[in-house]
Amino acid sequence: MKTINCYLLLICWKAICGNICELSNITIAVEKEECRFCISVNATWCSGYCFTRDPVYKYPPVSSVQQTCTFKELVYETVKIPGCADHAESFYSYPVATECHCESCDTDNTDCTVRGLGPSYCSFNQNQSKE
Amino acid sequence: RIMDYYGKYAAVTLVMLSVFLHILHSFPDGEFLTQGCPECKLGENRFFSKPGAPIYQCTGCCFSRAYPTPMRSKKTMLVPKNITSEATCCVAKAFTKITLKDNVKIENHTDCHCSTCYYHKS
Repeated sequence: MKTINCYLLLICWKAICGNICELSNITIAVEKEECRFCISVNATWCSGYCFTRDPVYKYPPVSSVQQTCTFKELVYETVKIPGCADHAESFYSYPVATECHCESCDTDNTDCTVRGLGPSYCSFNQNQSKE
Repeated sequence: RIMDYYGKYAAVTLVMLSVFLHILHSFPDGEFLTQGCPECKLGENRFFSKPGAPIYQCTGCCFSRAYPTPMRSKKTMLVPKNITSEATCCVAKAFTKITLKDNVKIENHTDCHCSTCYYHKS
């Protein structure tokens, strides 16, 4: 029984002391360039903290030793963008994360950077909300 | 009697866990960063350290996030990517260079911070 309790405490410790990379609610801006406005859409994406280290031995360079908080699973959702005077409504598909993890950044599908424009960046002043 | 015996052990375990969680939550944010993910700081690199000649390495947790690439950004990309990752990694802010036997050159980190990642792409 003592052994079981020790293992239980160890499991709880490992569960608590891990990376904290998880889904969070964000607002993304979808632009309608022809009509010069954006609509806001709620989505879930990944943010948090991942354990990283800086190698002391760098020659030759070792890739993929640092992890970032990124998606593990995602789905695509579609939103209808209203039209304007000379342009009909249209549809736009955007990715939504359903699971996150700490992993190396996949350059095949991800722009791996330090800072981007942010998910709610809109080139135009007008913003319409849509849930 | 057996149930009482095991019940007491379970109760002790639960009490210890509650106390531990209470202690964790009562620390200011800077102490544990966020529930057990250690902050970015110097730690000894046991592989390269020798007695009397420790080698230090920056390790710890830093913030990163991922989100759908804004449409404006996609237009500027040579190869458009649907997802953008903003990441920082625990890296050396200052270091000294050490040459070991066989002309192997390594770094001995002296200060750390969360900054640009260089070894995170796959």
